[in-house]
Amino acid sequence: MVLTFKYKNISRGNGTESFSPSVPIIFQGNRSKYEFMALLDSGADISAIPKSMAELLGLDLSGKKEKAFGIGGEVPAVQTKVNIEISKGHEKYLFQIPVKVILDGYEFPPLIGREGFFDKFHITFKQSERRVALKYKEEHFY
Amino acid sequence: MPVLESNYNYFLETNLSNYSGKWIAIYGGEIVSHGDDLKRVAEEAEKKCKDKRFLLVKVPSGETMIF
Repeated sequence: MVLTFKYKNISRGNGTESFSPSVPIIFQGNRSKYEFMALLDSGADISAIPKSMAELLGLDLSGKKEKAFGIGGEVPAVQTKVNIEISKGHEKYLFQIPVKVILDGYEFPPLIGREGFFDKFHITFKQSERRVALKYKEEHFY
Repeated sequence: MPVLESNYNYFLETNLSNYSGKWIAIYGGEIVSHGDDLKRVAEEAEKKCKDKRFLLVKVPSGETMIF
């Protein structure tokens, strides 16, 4: 089975449009769980969320503070784990992913990076069709 | 708490540019709360949606995103 999600059309301030591979994901922390629209980011080593989201979920932020690097430079971050659920129709997958919580107060949509997520699916970005397809990789035990 | 298709479809089909840069909560075919503070947006949405099955979205601002 394949989970297929349409790209979201986003109007830019200069009158142009862009299309983003957004997927609905339920994030569950120690305190609560909420559904967010997240961006699939194949260029990110690991997923990232803003501090406000981590606090809302009640994630453990007691880990060692470190720096995360992006095109905008370096930002303070802490690494933790979060449970996620992705589904479409009758198909549903639950698992845990590592996530960097960005501590500088910048607000951004949750970014789903490669570690712990991209290795669970065959992911096809169909830019011309404006959709992304996720096919779960069955685990085989011999 | 399965994903509500109606919230997702509303997100896809609606021009959200009036909420550029804001957090919004979508439920039942409308935006039930919005603002800069995610916690407040979620709390307000929880008061309006007792089953808590709303969708939280950070609407992109006008700039091109490069991560």
